Amino acid sequence: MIRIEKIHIHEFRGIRELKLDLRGQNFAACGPNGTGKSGIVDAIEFALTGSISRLSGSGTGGLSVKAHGPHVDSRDKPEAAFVTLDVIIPALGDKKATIHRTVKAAGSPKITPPDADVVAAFNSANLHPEFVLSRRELIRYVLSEPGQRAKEVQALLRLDDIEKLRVVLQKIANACSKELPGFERAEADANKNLLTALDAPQLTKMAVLDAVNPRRKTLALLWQILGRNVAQGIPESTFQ
Amino acid sequence: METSSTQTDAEECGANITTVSENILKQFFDELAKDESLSEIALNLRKTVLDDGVFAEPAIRAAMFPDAS
Repeated sequence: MIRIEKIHIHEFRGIRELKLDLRGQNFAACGPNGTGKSGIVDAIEFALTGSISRLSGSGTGGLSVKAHGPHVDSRDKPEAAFVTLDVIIPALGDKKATIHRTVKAAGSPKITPPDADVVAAFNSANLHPEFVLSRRELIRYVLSEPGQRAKEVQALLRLDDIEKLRVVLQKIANACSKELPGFERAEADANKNLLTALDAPQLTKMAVLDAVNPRRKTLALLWQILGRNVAQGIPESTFQ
Repeated sequence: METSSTQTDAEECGANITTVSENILKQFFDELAKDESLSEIALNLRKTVLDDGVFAEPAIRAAMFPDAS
């Protein structure tokens, strides 16, 4: 988890300049339509991930951050549009860190201090996109059909790998279910044939040994006789 | 990227960066491994899915039925 101490938004989305001192606390943004409430959420998402899901979701036509991230008055100056977050990372003993990201270099944030654990914490946030839920997404979840809602949650949490494995395992299970009766029949037939051949009452270890050992003894005796006769020049065909 | 060298350091340090999917799959394979008769399959599946990142049916089948030709 990352707690935000301060946000500095400059020429980003609908915001020209905004500094918020959140002190690591929860906050709510309220105001009339078009005053930049969603812009704050976009800025936090952009600072942590380099992208804005509202621009890339379904129905947006895949707008680019570079073209639509900067304020309209700085559209041609993506280097001027930036977001800086001062954060506390509780998992690292309340370590303080800063991430600064410009629209021009959205894939290359400046992280201070550039310690491995701090970078890992920011990467971890990047891998959990569920930290941003826009109003549109919330409404979509509320209104969606139950089956579809599960898919929306899967997409949000990037659970597609689990779905891929589930589908493959289900396919293998279905195939095994189809093959199983045939194998069970073959096993039953083999057991029956073995019991008949051995003239054994049941297929237990002792019953099989009791049936097999006398035959092995006879066979060994037969081989001895056969070997002796072959040595004496009596052809094998005599015993067939 | 100004942090590229430190990101490499983080990877080398084995920093615990996992997705929700990876966490769930790890727990699934851990549970599977607790069953003595499935522990070998759990190991094979973990390697195929998490280490190699392969989800194709032939690879999963090979992990589950290593003796099948």
